Amino acid sequence: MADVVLRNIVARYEQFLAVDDVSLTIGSGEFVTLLGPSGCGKSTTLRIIAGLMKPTSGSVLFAGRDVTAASAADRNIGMVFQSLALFPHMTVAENVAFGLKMRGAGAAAIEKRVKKMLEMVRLDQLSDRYPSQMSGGQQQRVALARAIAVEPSILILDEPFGALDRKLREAMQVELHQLTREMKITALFVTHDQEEALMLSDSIAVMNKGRIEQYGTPQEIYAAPATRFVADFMGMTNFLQGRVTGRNGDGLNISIGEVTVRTSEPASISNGTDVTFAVRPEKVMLAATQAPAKAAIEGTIRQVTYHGDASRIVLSLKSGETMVALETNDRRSADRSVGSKVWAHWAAEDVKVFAQ
Amino acid sequence: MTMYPLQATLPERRRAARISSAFGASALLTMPACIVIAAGVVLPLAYMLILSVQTPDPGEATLTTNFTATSYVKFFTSPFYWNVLLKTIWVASVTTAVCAFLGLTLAVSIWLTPPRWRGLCVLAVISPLLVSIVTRAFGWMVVLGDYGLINNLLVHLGIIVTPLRMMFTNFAIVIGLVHVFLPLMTLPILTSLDRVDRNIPEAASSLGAGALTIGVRILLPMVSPGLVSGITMVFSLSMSSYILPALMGGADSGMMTTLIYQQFVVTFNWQFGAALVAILLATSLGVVALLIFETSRRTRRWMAGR
Amino acid sequence: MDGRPVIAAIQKKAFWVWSAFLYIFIVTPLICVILASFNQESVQSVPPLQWSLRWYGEALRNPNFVRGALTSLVVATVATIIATPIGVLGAFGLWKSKSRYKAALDAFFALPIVVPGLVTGISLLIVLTAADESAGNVKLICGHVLIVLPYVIRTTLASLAQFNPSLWEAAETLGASPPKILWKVVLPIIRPGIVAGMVFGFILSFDDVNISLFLVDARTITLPISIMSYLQFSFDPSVAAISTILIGITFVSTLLLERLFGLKRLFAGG
Repeated sequence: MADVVLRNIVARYEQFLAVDDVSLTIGSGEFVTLLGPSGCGKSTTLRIIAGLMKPTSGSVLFAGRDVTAASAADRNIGMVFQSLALFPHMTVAENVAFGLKMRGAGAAAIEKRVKKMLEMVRLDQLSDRYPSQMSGGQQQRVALARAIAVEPSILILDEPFGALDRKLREAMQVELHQLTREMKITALFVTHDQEEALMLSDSIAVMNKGRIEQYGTPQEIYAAPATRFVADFMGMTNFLQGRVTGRNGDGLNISIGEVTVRTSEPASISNGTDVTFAVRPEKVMLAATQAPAKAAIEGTIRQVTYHGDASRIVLSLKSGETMVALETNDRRSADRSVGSKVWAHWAAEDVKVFAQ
Repeated sequence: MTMYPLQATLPERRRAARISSAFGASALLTMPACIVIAAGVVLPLAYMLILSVQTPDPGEATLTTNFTATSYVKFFTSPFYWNVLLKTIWVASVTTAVCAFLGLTLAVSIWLTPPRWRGLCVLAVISPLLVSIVTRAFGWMVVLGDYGLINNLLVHLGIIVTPLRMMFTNFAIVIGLVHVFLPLMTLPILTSLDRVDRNIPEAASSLGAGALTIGVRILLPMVSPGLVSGITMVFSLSMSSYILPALMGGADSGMMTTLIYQQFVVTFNWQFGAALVAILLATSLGVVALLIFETSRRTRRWMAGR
Repeated sequence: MDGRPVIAAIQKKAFWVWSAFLYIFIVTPLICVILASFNQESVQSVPPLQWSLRWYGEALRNPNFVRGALTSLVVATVATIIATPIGVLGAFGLWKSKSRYKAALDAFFALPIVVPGLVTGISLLIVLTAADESAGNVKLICGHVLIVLPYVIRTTLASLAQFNPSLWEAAETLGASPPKILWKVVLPIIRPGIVAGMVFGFILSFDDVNISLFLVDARTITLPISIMSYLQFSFDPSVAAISTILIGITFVSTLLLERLFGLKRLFAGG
């Protein structure tokens, strides 16, 4: 397996800037995901790495060699497409053997390898079937086997599980995770689904409007989002306005309306700065009264919706802002009827602060 | 997974075999077809056009640089030849008009046919195209002949006593041509019709329009692209049709194409024949261009964006 | 106050009667040919006064018809064999082309259909005479390649239009060069379209009169032209018989085409 480096990739279509100076290093054997909403440039970046598209400027290196000018056929990659793109007129075995045939391998070597690949994805009994005779999950596994069979420098997957139903998707995610770790495959994965990214990746690059907003481990992305966009995208969706009033040990004091709340983040934002304050709905706790030691914000319940194991409660605050709390349904400690007053509080560690 | 013996073969091999660009490859692929068409259609046509301005010399087909308009002058100064041209235009126009009317109604009929039968109907309309024109002409001879189907029927029913003379008349030519070209008129109209949102006639109906009104004032304008396509096709084909007019109208049918045939196969006046072909083509193209110009002017406004 | 529903009902009835008439109009000549072929005597009576297969025998024994059929068969086959690879390559080239002249090229490929058969036939006659080419079969084949070619291109292009582009990219990522992709992935998938074009071109070539008329001579003749010559002199049911045989073959081929490809696509103009 090789490592892949992107240097200052820019991709422009007419007036539209799809990829805006992206640089990235994918280490050998690493599983990296490009995560972001539609139109953020992740698919374009993926196609540039694959060689299906040429960047306007910048370079792509595979194991130190500049492959920017090389076509997809010359880069020795394995790609799984969203539509799978299995050759309908070839059997499963022929599909998997295709890349090997293109490389001029001998018949015996091909047969051996195809068998091994199919065993690995548990399809060796179906090697003579045609794609149209197989289920969606089986077709997925064929596409995967075909891409891996050629021992690619990098395995590239373009939202491969998007069209699957939830159960199948989860099964495929588990299988992919296991396969890539076992075989130490360098992989590049593109998705808009943050849960999928968190589960599969060694590193995640969150993209927005053609730029990488944050690059880090899943834990970093989830618990310590660097920008408001990343926080929002990863589910930290309560945003309140406040102002820094001073330091408090390791963290900051932020006043929100009449209340002062603490953060434990050692951010170096100076006093008096306006900040945005983010906390996850799951981390917001609601109390019937304002407990004296805790800093809590008063709110009125506007809407309660039931979600099985949890309830989603929308509060409106005195400042006019809205806050959402997600409470598990066995932990009711206050009146949750619409119109009642509650006090919202949270742990200092669960808060992220972003300067405006 | 161990070493990658397969990997090394790729980049080096391909780099050597690379053709310059996608454009280069495309040009290469289309070259044979272009050569065949240029050599088979374009060049001979050009040759023929140049032949038309050569000095008339029966049987001679070589080109010289002595250009002369003799053949064209011969044509345009003769009332007889003018007559032939005008008659050809007349027959083609009548054929096109009748075909347009029949084609419109047939297309609407197919459009309204339940999907179960539609395939069969379309097949019935198209399959005559795959039968040789000689057979189709012969078929009409059987139908229209003095002792053919229609006359037999009429005599049998006692409506007439002596058979009606239908073969070797202009009527026969038009009927034959209409029959041959009806599918070519119907299909483009049908294609246009299929693009019409079926809710539109229903909306018109709900507003009180009768079937005829819907057909003429709503559907007809909407299918005009298909109609124009059909009309231009049928008109050009009618103008240059030889076999059917020859068989249905006889050797003295008075059509341009019969005249042309005689020049090439009977009298060997090839230069004059070439001029006749050129005049025929020019007339055909001229009328078609006029038609297209006229109709596109009218429909351009509301058709924009289709 | 309305007679409207009644009028509407009458209009509806009248319309379907008119439609039936149109369909009858379309099939009548062909039906008549078939019926006339079964006449016992030398009359084109429909329906036959007496039924017999006599004229089928006569037709099959007619040396001109037999010669013509053989020539038509050979010419159509050779023309199709020559035209198909040229047409398929041309369609591939057009499909992959990113040039500004793509639309013009598309129109150029349609030229043999657009230029009237009469004109093409005459022009070829002139040029081939000037080139002193006298082998009848060769002249015919030259002309007939022009008949088959545009239809092979058309059906191939139509099939390519439905081809899933991801398949091309997948093959590319697996290391295949464009020629390999065309041969191993694209071609097998669009094969039905190509075959449809071949069958259609073959039929049109076999049926052709307009171009063949000027390319035949005393020694070489095609079946439709031999039928036409026969018609100039005699008017007996052997013409009907041979025509019926032709109609039968055409009918079978039409069904084949419809199954493979869908005939409407070939002719949809607009």
